Amino acid sequence: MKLKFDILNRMRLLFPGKKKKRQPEHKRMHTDNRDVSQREADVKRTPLVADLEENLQRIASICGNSYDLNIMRFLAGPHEVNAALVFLDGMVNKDAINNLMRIVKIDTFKTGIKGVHKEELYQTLQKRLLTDENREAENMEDLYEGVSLGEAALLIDGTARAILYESKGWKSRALTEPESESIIRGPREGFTENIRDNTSLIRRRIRSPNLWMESMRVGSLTKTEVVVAYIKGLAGEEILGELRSRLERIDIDGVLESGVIEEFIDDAPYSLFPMIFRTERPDRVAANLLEGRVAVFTNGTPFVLVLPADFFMFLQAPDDYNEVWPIGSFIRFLRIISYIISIFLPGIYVSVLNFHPELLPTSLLLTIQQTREGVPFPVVAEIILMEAAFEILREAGIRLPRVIGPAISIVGALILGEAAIRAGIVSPGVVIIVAFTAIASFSTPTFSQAIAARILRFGVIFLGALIGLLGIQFAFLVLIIHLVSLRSFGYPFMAPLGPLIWRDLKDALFRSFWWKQVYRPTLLGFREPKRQPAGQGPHTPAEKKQSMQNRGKGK
Amino acid sequence: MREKRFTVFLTSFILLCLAFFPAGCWDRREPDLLGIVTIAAFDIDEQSGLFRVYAQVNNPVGGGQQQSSGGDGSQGSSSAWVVETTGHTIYEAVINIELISSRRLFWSHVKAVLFSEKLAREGIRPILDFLDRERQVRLIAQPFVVQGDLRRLLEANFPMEVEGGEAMSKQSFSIMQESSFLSEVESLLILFRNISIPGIEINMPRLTVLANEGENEEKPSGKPNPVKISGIGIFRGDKLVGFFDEKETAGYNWLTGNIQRHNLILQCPGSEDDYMTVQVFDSSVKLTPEIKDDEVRFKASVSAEGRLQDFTCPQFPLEREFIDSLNRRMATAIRNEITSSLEKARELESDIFGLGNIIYRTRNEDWKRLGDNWREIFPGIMVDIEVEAKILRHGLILEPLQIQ
Repeated sequence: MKLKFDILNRMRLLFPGKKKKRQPEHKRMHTDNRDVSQREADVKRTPLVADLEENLQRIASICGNSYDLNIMRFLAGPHEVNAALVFLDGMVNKDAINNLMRIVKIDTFKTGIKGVHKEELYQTLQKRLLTDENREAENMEDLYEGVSLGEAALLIDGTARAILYESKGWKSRALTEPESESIIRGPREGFTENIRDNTSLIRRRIRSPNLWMESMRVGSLTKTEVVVAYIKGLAGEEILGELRSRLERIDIDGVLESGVIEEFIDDAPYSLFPMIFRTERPDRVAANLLEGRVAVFTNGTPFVLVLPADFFMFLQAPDDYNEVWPIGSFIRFLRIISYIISIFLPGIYVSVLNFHPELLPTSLLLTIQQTREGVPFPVVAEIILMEAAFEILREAGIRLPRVIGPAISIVGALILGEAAIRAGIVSPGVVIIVAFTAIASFSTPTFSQAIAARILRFGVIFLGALIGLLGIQFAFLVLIIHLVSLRSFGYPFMAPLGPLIWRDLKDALFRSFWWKQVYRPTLLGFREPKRQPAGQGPHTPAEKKQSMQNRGKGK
Repeated sequence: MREKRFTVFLTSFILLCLAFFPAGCWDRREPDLLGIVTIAAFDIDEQSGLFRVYAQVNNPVGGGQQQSSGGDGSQGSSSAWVVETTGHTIYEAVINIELISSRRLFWSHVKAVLFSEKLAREGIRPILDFLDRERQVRLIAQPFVVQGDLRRLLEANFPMEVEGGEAMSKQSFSIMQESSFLSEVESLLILFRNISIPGIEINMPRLTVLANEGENEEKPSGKPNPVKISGIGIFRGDKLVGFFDEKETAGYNWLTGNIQRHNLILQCPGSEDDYMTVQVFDSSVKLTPEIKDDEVRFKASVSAEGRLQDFTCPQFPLEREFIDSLNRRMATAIRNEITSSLEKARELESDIFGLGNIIYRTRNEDWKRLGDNWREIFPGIMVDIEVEAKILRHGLILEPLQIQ
């Protein structure tokens, strides 16, 4: 290579007159031999010029005369200055465009300025149009960014700038109840694919000016809008700084779902467990912001990332908080138990039958032995067979159109299971165990956490079949060690159990009264630990009097 | 940094894997390779003098649960398979079972361990040694001394129950709960405990096979329970020397403080034909030794509280004086039971009450002197019995039920 460059340089020295003149960017863009990143770089380098025709030509060459690119040429002002409006069809609201045209074509006549020049016309429009919403673009990159968001770019001949007029008006989905996180009691709104709708859902819930939202672009081609939302003064600045630096580090062509961002900023990419919580529910995001967490909105997806996450977040559901505390505590504890079941039950079944049949009650062992007569496989093969069949069924059930979905569950659960027992391929005990495990794993509210359990289950079965309950114990230990070693943005994943924080146990395995939850989570809300004054529980009148007196004394 | 982390990871992984090796041996077995033994029975062959071992093995193919109870004889037959082998040692006999069984025998679910009377009289030490060493047999199995034919017992069908071992342990458990006709020996563990304590002889529940019933009588509801569990077998060392009947067993329980619930049938004061039942629900005993030189005396103070379970004496209303006389009757009945039990023990020269053990624990100096020939001393020991019995909670039913 070096040699080649050398030769080229020497050639140039020999023939100075033959040196090729560098073409301007917009001209080179007509050619087909520029690759996409080169073209993107060219867009950045292309400035706006004073000549309207030249500008329009450049836009056309950048966008390649795309069919939805709309260029409206018209004459503006009393002096009939050449002007053009550039926008993308389908992204804009036609009323807004009409409004703009009215302003530009009629209002400029009312200015009463005689002998308006091109420059003056632009300044008039600038005064008239520039508000918070409408911006000015000075180069091609800004201009296209605005246009691609649904803004209309107003170009006036003789000015090397453009006015971006806010006219967004694309179709988006209505707010519906999220299907992956259904609840019994709580708000029915869910996030949509539109980031503005999503952030407004949070704004509507937290009406504090301290709810700050920082926007940034991720993705060299998609330029996806990513918004970091937090409560200023409550969220840890260290976490925010780390999050910003991780987000800025992302260099990818496209972000179509928050999962991409999640993987880029994940602390433990090799772990099965998700380190970042995601939800479709604005109430959950708001609740987490109030605890000092940070939310990351991604345009184009209803899934909002919440971080730092801990293990118990994934096992909580809004119902825990919305129902009275005994019910909330009970269902949460039930969910934790069923999560453990969904990891360990099949493994324990295999290991007990293969290694420790003395652990079973005699009559149960006799029944299992009797029903297993004639089954050709060892217990572990049976379990793995059925688990695999179940996983396939589950996957099939998800992918199928909703109309055919139930058919799969009928065929799978009833016919396949029944026939497998009748044919003597599997024993009824295994079917019961697999079915129960499946139900237990469905009770985990978060899909990503449940899928971790599903994969771990096979490891536990394998270890259980290899060395019995010792293997189960080993799996349990390794799992615990792994979980305790995890950190989500520096926040211990197993808190408040991993590092034992007594004060936070009120909202981990169980949920305490709302009026008892005086403090925010210790490691998150450390900037202002106290959430509410203590002693707000119900009082008898006598107690109330007493406490009023005490309060008086305190003053 | 990365290399160091990897080294730490590798080291800890190897250390974790090492943890598997000291944890024991590989013993993976599929359930269908196991022959689950539910009852183990031991006997001695008279002609050859060899040990004979019976095992009742559950037969999963024959239908663990009995499918039909009556009518079809072939279907209602026992779900168990009884194997029988002999050997010079117990373990040889057990190994011999493996030769004739398609499945490896699995002894962990043995619920009842049966000793034939013949074997017990010869001495049960070899069997206890085997049970102690064999790691599969669990010490929660219930031991019995069996009077009657072992084979017949093992092949019997138990009404209401799936398998015999469980039936026997259930039966003895309920007897222990409801009456005092069995001793506290409800598991091999207690047997082993008693055998290793100085100054106490072992005993075992007695199980009688009711040989006459069942075969001849054709009952539509199936065969009757062929097993009666009551009384205890008394050992001297490891040899059976005799049996306590129900009354004597109750006496044993009074002296050892094992009365949980006990029914005393008393004659009514004044009318010889009428009876009443007093159920003892609370009792305590205190045994204190008094040793002067070589003369050993024991003072036993027993207190008991009971309630009237049924009462048919017509002429007496329940008044204080009458209750007092009932109390005296109850005390006498208790004393009689204790005395008869002591008499029998003296006759058999077996200190199953653990009187020697009380001396061992409280007068260790004296035990060092007496302990060596305690078996000779025991028959001569006097026990002074003091009984304080009270009938409480006779309730508001002051008079017998009157039929108008």
